[in-house]
Amino acid sequence: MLYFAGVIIFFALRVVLVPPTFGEIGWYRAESVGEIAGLQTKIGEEFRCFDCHITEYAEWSVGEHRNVSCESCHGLLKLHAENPEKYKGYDEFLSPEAFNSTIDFCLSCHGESISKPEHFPQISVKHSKSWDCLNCHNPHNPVGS
Amino acid sequence: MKRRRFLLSVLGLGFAAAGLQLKVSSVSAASPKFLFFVDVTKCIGCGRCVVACKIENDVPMEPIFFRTWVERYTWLRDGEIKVVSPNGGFNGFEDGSIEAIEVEKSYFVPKLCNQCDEPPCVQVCPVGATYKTEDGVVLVDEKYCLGCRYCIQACPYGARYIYPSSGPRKSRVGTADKCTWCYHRITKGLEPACVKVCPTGARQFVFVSGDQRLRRIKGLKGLKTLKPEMGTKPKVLYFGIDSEVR
Amino acid sequence: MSGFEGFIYPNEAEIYWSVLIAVYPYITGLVAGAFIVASLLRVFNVAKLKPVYRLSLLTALAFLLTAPLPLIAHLSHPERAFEIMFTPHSSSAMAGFGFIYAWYLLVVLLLEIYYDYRKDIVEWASKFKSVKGTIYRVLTLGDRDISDQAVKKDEKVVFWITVIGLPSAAFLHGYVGFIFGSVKANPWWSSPLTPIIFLFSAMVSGIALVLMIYVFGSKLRRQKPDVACVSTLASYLLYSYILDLSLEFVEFTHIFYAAEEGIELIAKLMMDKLFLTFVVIQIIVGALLPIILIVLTKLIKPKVQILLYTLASILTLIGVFAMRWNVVIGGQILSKTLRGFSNYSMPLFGPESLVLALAILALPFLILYVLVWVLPPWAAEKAETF
Repeated sequence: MLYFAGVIIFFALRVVLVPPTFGEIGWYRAESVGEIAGLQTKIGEEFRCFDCHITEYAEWSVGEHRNVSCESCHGLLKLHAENPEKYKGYDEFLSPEAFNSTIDFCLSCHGESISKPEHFPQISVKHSKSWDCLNCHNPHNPVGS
Repeated sequence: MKRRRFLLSVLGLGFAAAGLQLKVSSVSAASPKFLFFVDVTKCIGCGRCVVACKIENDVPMEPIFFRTWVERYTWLRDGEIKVVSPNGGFNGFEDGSIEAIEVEKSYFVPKLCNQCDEPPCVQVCPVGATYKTEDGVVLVDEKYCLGCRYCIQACPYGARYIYPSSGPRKSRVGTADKCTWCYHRITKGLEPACVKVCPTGARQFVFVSGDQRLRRIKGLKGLKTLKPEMGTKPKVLYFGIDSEVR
Repeated sequence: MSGFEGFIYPNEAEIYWSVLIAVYPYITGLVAGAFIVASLLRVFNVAKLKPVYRLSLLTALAFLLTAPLPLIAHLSHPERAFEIMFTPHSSSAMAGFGFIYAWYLLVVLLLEIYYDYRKDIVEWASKFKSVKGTIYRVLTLGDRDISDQAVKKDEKVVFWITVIGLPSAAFLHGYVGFIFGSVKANPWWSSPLTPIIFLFSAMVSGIALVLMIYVFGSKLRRQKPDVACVSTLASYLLYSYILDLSLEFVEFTHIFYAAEEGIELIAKLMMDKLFLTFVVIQIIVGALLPIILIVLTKLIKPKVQILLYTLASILTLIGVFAMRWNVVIGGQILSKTLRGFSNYSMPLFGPESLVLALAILALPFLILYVLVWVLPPWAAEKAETF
């Protein structure tokens, strides 16, 4: 008798405690798919950077860096894009401002390495470290102008 | 006798439950909607993908938790293979003490969840807290995972970790976490964060239906997956790797 | 970050199954082993083991009650543990735990103990007054019929439960072995032999445990342990250890002869990383030494043979725990890159620590103490006749 009661309690509890959408699609909580799909994005939706930065677009769209997305060098800047008045266009991890100097920033891609593809432009710095790459190169169109 | 009847009823219920489950699990085999393509001949090891991923997905900053990371494989002339991944490639790579003259070849290998078609992590999850969605992506339900860590043991690629209490997303603490191919982005038609910030196109995300690149990628010679002998059928396709990469 | 070697995946720096997961298969192994001792007597009629029959049942129960503790303690969300009963995933080896455990506890062990003790409980219920009497009156579960017919029926029930229980015990622990053996990603675990090796090492440890508890229990009651019984237990310990070691020998022969990918790493794992716990403790101190000890004692039959058998049992218990440790921890410090090793250092205090593991290992002895007080197993020596 005790065991019967136990089994009945077990199934009763099961009805109460198993989440409602569990097993609707597969052996999981169907709701969870929507929860994960609905997470907030932080990087680059349709930013419309070029609504404002027209000069940069003109340079970038014809330059060697035209296949590099804005976010690669400038970071997430989701807040800046939504409210440029209030938030500055500086990113803490993925922007020139996150590095000690412009040279360090440029070298983060263009530094010399045995592991990089041979055809990829790599620079060994002959100038002193205080030299600014921007003296000669426009980052939006580095080889062109 | 009471007990005999009890035993019989338990058995009956057991079989009924097993039958039900088999029926349920046979439903979810739809064709994958997404593919991930990694071209190691283009990767420069800048680590932007690792940084972007950590920010986009609230991955803890400690150097032992990654949803995606970059490894550097180096073949020396004496046959030795050196593999490193300092801070998962977060800060990029330095050549360090290896002399170019000793090196046979070397390249970077970005790693992420393979979203296996036969995912061992899903197979071993005791409660259905990790699962394969109908579009083929493997997800973790942070509200249901009990933190038993069996999935971490079962993943041959080291793609999973337990979300630590130091992480920014408190509701995820203590549950298994891993790359979702930025499920919250790809379901809106956006590229995953790592792909978005990759400056060289080494990472490419393919929306299978109507994607022009699919035929070109599928036609490439030497397309490989990682650890194919595991029978996991990964959906991350690598171009340009050697068989020693695992 | 220290102690790593070669290349490991960045996420592998943390060891996710700690000492507690080594304790868990150890405990279920002891349960299965102790139950097998009891079953030997019932099913195969080994009369010499009669003094330890009830003791081994109670030991099995005490350890079985503890078995879920290390598991629940290591979960990061123990409050969600019930999910494993309510939504068990049919393809997961681990999902069976709740059901196999419940089956073994409720259908095998408790019923067997109940029916085996029923006659005594009814007698005690009328003999004792006050609290103890009340306990027995509850334990009778309302059935006070102790006519010869009813007692005969009880014995029949116990026999059949044992017959069901034997494969159940084997399954309980073989299944734990399967949890590890089925992880194809891990070359140190993945093997069809793992469940069988787990099973035989469980028998070894269970027999050793019962022997040890019997000897110490007798000492505590200032009684002489039965030499014939201890000696028989030691013989079974020896036989099962020989079986266990031959299986492990087969396993390692296969690993080294097949020499698949990562063999250098496995060799290094055994001979370097796990040298102390594998070669020294598991093989030499925990297996070869007790075997030699038992064989020598059997040949020479010195006066202190019970002491020597007990010593061999304690060494065995240490050796089998080392085996669990080497499987669980060893499997995780071997990186899935097959290019390096992670590192595990056990914290002394706090969650998943040495102290907690020791506390969990001490708990069954406390439970056993209470069980023995309520259901004295010693009476069987005189009162019960088979």
